[in-house]
Amino acid sequence: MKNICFINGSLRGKKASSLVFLNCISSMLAEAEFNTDIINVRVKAKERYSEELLKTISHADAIIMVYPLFTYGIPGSLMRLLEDFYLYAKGKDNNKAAMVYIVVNCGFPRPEIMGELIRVMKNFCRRLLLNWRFAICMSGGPVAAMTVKTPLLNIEYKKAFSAIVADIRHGDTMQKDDYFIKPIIPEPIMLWIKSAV
Amino acid sequence: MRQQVMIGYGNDIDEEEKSTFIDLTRKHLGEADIVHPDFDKQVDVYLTTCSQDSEAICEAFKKHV
Ligand SMILES: Cc1cc2nc3c(=O)[nH]c(=O)nc-3n(C[C@H](O)[C@H](O)[C@H](O)COP(=O)(O)O)c2cc1C
Repeated sequence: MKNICFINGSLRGKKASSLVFLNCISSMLAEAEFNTDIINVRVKAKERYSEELLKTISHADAIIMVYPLFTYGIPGSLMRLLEDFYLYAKGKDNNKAAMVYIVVNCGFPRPEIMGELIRVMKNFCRRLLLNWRFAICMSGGPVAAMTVKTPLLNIEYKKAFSAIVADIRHGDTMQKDDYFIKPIIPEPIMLWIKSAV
Repeated sequence: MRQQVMIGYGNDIDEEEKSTFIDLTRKHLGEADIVHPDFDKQVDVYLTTCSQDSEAICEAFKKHV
């Protein structure tokens, strides 16, 4: 049975778009085949994340990080968890080379703006000898979260999420392309809505 | 005109990490409020990994002082 560790990097609790994507991917993982853990980042991380929690990440066969884009990068609360994990895992020679996926959503209309974020995550994986797989970058976060739940309109999202599940199931090694998914609402209308609120 | 200088640091940073930091900061100048929007055309970004780098950075921005 493969261990899957989800990291929810949004602090928006039940309102988070990230949570919608996480639940959708999680529901595609058959219980008989995968053991799943979900780690939520904390608001104030004065204390380090517990060793037990960091161990859960280090035992995972696949790590799926689902989070919002903040200032073209990683939200601070997730950064803190990754820093703690880095200190925990660095130098240990029994780490698993977990497969790593990121599922990121942002407020702006163009998902391509996440190019540098992907580089940051690849650098992180290279340092810890983790197995970087691919990213799913979705713009128009709240619209994307609504679309994911809407049959027929959600085909692109489902295709991308299924790609993660299939990749883990088959233990693929060939490098895959990242997914950049725009919301179904055209960009000028998105910008108009943004300027109106 | 005031110049802003952003300096990253780390003594075990490789070339790709260095250029990721510089691209990430430079590419989005002003757009993401990483720097103050009014100063978006007056920002220099550097990254230092050792004291020689720091000296070179000081030399580079002496021209603004
Ligand atoms: C501090 C902060 C910084 C943000 N920076 C960006 C950004 O650089 N680009 C962008 O498109 N959206 C940005 N956003 C918007 C979030 O990515 C967007 O609202 C996202 O849908 C939130 O996802 P969540 O509900 O999963 O937390 C930012 C939001 C906050 C609060």
